[in-house]
Amino acid sequence: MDVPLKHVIGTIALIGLVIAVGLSYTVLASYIEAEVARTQLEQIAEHVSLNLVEIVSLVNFANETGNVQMKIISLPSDLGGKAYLVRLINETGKGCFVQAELVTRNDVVASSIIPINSYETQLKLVTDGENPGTLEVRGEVKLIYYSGTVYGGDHDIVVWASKESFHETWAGIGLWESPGG
Amino acid sequence: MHIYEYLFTAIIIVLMLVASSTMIGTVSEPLIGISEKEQLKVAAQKILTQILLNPGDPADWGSNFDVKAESLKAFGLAKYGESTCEAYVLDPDKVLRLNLSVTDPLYIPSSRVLELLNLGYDYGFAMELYPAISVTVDETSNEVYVTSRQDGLPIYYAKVHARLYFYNDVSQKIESTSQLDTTTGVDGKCAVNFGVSAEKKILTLVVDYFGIRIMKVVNLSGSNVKKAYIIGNRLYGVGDVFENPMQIMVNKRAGSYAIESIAYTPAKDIEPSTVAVLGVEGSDLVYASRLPISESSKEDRLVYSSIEGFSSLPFAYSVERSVIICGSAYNIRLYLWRMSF
Repeated sequence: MDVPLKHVIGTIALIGLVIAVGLSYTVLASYIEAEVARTQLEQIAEHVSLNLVEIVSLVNFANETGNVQMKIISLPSDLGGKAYLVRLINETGKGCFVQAELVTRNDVVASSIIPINSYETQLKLVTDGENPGTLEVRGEVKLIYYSGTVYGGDHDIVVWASKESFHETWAGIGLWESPGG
Repeated sequence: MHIYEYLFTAIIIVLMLVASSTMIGTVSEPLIGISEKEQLKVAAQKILTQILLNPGDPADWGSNFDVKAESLKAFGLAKYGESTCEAYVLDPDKVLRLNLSVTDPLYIPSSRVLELLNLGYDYGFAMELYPAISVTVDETSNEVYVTSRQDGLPIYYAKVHARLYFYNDVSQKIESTSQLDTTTGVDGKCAVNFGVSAEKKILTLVVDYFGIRIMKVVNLSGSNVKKAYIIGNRLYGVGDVFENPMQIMVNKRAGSYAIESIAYTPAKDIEPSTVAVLGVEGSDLVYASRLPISESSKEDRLVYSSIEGFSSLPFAYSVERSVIICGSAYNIRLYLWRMSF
């Protein structure tokens, strides 16, 4: 059976178009999905930074050396099945900010400023890249395991602040856990 | 199949892509829009918390004349006390430094505040500060008019305590009338007529409406009176060459307010509870007020904005809180908007 050349070209062109349209749709859907995820990450970053500012204000207000305050913040365990990280960053020129990012796609990232300049002020933020440690809160069995980065899926993520001396307040994010996990 | 049928099929496929893309975009757009507003709300709350509950760094930057805009390390307006702190009590010196002339060396420009709050070029902000209830003085009829902020309705039975200080040209001294205590009528008005015809006069007012207290030091003489400021325990904007200087204080006694004055020695510190200092320089009456935005008889408000002349933009989010400055009740409203989208 003879098939005219024009039908061969036409069919191939149609198949090509369907594939191109399918790819375009995937790219577009992926872009929109990333935008939605970015919006959710922005909300998470804003929520963490608001709580951090509030806990720092509370500790400074109490003005009592050795006073450690913390607050467990409620965050989603994942974003549409995707894991995410929350980081505390202090960058020259940009200041301190909370950054939330997807673990699988680190181009999907959102940040929220902390309205304090940690380089110059008496507030020291334990940021990403600094040594993690533990803090005891009023003799509780559980400890704050602080570090500059936490996974969104972790239980009992906290913001904390501690009045180290009359002139120095430390603050950061971490996990509220029993020793040994 | 004809060539037209292939073309028609291709057009249908492309149209399906366009339609589905538009639908996805249309569905997600409002969600993103709502979310952006929510973020702006949280950001506004966070910034207002920093401004109202933190004293800044150095903590005494309001009254410390050595701290200029460039040496300020953190911005906050809370009143700082080493032993006691009260929430939402602002330092009048810090607020005053936002209300000075832009050329004044103590003025803190909004660009520096943007920098200190880490807002950079991402956000713009404006702050509005105004008394919790509106108190205006009609200089011609000598009437005080008290109205509600929310709806502009007159406030009935607000207690008004007033005392007039004036420069007596004959004795060349500052004199005062006795205190007048009255209440506003159903029209929100009350007369405060002292029967004094002096050219240079200052009216000190305390309005109390069920615990909401507003203090005002009103210049009733226009340009006949020189204006200065009290910053910390010092006078600012005028020399110490004062004759007959006095400090005006408002004290609460037995549920009422007493407007009183004591002598002021220029070399010594001004009392912390002093709301104004009056003095004579040559033949001029000079008055310095600690109240940061109580300068005229008209309705007072401080607008401090990152865009000069704009207190708010249509797409800005606003948060409002009640604060106390020098014992007077004020409302502070923060407008926050994004500079980029």
